[in-house]
Amino acid sequence: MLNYVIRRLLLIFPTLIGITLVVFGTMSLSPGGVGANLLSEEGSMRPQEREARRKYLNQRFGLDKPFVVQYGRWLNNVLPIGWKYNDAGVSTGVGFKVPDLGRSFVRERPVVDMIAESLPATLLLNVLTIPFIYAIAITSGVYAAKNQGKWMDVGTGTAFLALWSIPSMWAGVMLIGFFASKDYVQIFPTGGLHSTESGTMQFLPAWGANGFSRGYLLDAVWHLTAPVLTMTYGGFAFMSKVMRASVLDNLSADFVRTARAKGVSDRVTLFRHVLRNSILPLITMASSLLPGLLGGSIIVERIFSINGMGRLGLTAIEQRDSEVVLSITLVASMLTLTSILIADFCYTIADPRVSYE
Amino acid sequence: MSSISLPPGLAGPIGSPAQPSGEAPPRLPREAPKFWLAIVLSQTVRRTGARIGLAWVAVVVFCAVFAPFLANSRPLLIKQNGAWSSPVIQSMNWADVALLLLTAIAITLFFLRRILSGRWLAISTLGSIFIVPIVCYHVFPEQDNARLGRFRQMQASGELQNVVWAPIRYSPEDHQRDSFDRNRPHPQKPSDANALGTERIGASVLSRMIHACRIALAVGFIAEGIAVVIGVIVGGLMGYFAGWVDLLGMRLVEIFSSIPSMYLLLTFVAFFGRDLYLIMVIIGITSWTGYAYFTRAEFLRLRKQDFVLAAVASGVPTWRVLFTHILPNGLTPVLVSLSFGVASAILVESTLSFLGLGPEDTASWGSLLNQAVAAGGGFYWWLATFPGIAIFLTVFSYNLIGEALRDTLDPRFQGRAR
Amino acid sequence: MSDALLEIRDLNVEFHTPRGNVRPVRDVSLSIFPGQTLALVGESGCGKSVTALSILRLLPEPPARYPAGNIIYAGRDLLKTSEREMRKVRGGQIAMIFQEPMTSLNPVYTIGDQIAEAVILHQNLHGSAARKAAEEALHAVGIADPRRRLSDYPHQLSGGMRQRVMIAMALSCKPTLLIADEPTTALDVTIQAQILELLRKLQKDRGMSILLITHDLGVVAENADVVAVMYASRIVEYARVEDLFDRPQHPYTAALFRSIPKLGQPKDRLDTISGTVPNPANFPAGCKFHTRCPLTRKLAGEAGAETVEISNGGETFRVVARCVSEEPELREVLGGHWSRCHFTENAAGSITTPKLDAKRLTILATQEVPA
Repeated sequence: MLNYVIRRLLLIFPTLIGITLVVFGTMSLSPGGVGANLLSEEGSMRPQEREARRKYLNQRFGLDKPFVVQYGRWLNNVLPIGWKYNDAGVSTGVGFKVPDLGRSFVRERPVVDMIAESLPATLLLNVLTIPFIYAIAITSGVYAAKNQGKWMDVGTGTAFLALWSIPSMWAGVMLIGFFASKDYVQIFPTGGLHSTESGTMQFLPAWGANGFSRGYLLDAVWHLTAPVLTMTYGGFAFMSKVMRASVLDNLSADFVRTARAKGVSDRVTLFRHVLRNSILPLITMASSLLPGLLGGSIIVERIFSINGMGRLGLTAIEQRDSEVVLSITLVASMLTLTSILIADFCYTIADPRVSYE
Repeated sequence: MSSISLPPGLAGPIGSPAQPSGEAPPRLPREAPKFWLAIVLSQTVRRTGARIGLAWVAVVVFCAVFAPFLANSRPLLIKQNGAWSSPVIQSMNWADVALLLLTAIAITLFFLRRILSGRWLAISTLGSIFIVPIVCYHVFPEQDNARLGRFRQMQASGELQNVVWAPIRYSPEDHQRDSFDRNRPHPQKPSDANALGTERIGASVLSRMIHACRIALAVGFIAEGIAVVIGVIVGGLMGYFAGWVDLLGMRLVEIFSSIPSMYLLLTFVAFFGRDLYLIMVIIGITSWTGYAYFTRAEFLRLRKQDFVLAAVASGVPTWRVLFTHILPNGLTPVLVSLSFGVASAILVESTLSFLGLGPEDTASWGSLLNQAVAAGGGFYWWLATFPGIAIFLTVFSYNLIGEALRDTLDPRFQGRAR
Repeated sequence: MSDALLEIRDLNVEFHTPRGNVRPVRDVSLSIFPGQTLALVGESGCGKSVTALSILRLLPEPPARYPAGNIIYAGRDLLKTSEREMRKVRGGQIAMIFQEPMTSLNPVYTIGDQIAEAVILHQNLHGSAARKAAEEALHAVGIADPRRRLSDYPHQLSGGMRQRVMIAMALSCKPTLLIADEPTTALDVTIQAQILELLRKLQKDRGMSILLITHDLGVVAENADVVAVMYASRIVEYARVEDLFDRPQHPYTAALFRSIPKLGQPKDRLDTISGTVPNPANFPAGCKFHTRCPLTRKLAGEAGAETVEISNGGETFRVVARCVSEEPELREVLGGHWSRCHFTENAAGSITTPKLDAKRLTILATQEVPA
């Protein structure tokens, strides 16, 4: 098992390099290259700002240097291992260091801090969605497969296909527009993750002298409902179909016949034999689900005004804050890569047929 | 050569039963079409899901092709000073002409399909798709969109003796300044003048939506076309040559599927700008990995088959083996994902427009949706509902077609394999 | 004659499909006695697997129906038993093993778990006692180091070992009858011999009966006591194995024997049975074999025969009219030998239900097959 883990991690290396190349290349190969920011803002900056900016860009990437040098410099900055430099620009040896993701031009803050602040919200959204997606997908998939061909199956199949086709931004906008507004129905809050008075709330809901007070926990749940809803429906609609197909495949498998011939009841056959085998494709599918979730959270964060990484990136694009954009994409890619690896390992544990050698 | 059999219903019954003489032997069915793709398509078109999907896609195609005739501030026909003229035709730009020409060619080819062989059909289709737009681009100039309200003024002032308007009397670029009312600023609710309301600058929502059909179709096909070409080539090479080519290719696939495509798109748009064609190319570059995966699996499976070994053994050059022998057999899963892929490309473009990063100056469903929720908390329901429905219906239609294709292709082969 | 362990009487199985009803098993009767091996022989599509699956009611019952017939076991009709009672029978009293050992075991559970599942269900053992029983079952089928094997997964075993595991699983609860549906078809010839020898040994040790379904006459010769030959949903011949091999009565059986190549016999072309097995949705009228039967064609050429011309698979030929118009009954044409044909040796034999409490008298050393 350890062998497999190590081999898999080693294989990730070229992918890591590749990702950094692609991400960096997007900026470097664009019109203007790494200095594009400098050029486009030229008119609106004061001379000393421009000079400071130029100095920063030169130190970080090396303006007018060849691509390889620029890439190398940037990579060295961004990795947690590498050459360390002191303020005078002199190398102080190789070792572990805090990755330097650059400095925001607009906010004048290290990007690492900005990302660290906004990452938890994004992670919360994404991590919450996953169990919901799987729970609903597994139950509905099994149900549809058991009633194959009947009205319930065909109906849910078409309904889920329609659900999957609903663009999440439309769903989000409709939810906010019709169900979170004063003009129509106010079931959901108008945005954000917490009410403004959440700082003074106690954690659990309680009935006090002034009636029912929500409490921090319930308030957070209330705020999270619409965003999580917008993020899950597409996922479980798709996964449900995958589950249904998988269960159908396994229902007609030979080992099910063997189990029944042993005297195992239909119910136990379904839950012990069929289910265990049917879930495997769902774990594989996680690798394609997770990148989609991260991308989807950008939209959700914008619609529901949640201060997550996606929203940070969007604002950065509007404000032409190239360092932030670059680093956010890098972090997002690393996150996805990590989750794909985790999904791979989960699969290896779940399916004994995957050889460790 | 291929392991693909005719679907049941087209072949005769298995094993003729013995009958006492007197009964004629069963009659042969009429000759089945030879081209495998034609069989698959004809089977798919019979399914209800595909029909619903194709119906809506037909509506979108119709709107895209005939947009200048459906929604235009310039009338179809006017009679001015005793002479008839057609402002619409006079002001058609290259895209309008190209689309009309392509439609005409498509219809002609459709009716000629029995006469021409499959190869000629493919060549003429692909050829015209590439040549016609380029030619038109160079021949027809861009049109000037100033003073779009002048025809309305002319009609009001009586200059025109006869006017035949398009069904919707506003171009998407027409900001209706002549009917601006300070007490009712844009965006306005649906009204008699504007059936679906107006958006922030004053343009008619319906007109914008009709013209946006072009973007939807263009993005769908061009972006996914690029993705398919890249994916099939990479996947095919990976599957056929295996070894280190496969190892390298898998790293490439892994790289592009690890970067969340939305983030990569945002990065591209941030650095390269918001040009429509660039966006289409980039969507293509970010969505090829699925096709590569399927094609690789198919090529891995097929290269071991006897017909491939036979071709190689008889000295057929490699590229020919790949193109004419393996590729037609390996395209099955690609076909299914293509339909879903087009749906997803349209979704992605709408999302980009929604986030304010779509192609500039061009009407798109997503950009209309973007205006639905205003910063101050106002909600313009017509800007949310109608464009949203359009996106939903288009995506749903392609998904339905994809499902129908999958139903046609998969159980058939599963049944045969067992 | 002792009582039959399992008696199938006039079994009819019908499938209700969107294109109409199909009856792949018609009026099948057979009896298995304690300690006996009955071989059910036939080509693919003749209905033998459906018959076997019907005994344990393993066919999904919405499409499958049993319009007529009984399956009597331990004093009750299995066709009328409730699902809950059937579950006790399956594995506990009648066990079944299948053709594909590769896919018949669940890939995500260890073989120890899978054998233990059967033991827990039927013998009321749990935990370590169940594992002990599983270990003993593995030992009984000749698997070395059974305790370690308990934690192996199916994909770690070879085909032959997987089939042994299937047998171990089937026999772990000491059933009185084992149904083996083509247990060796998917295995190498040498492994095949080992598995069959194992089955014979286990049968002798436990006094178990075996219903062996196969299309391989060699397997029949070495293992069966009584043989039932099926064709196109019906039993066409039923006899002791020696009688069947010595004097096949039905033209189909005779043709099968003729098509086996024999060492030392000069032959340009192998004999075949022309035509193909009829489609269950579309059986011919009269005798189901008349479209391919060499006997009826030969008799049609003789003088005085009333013949009819039919066409099959492109050729037309004459057959005896009675074969097309009248379906023959299963008659006891010789002592303990039934055949379903109008023209066998004693065509006027009585119509009785086949029942043979017989064990093999000698082991047939060579496949001495009559010309």
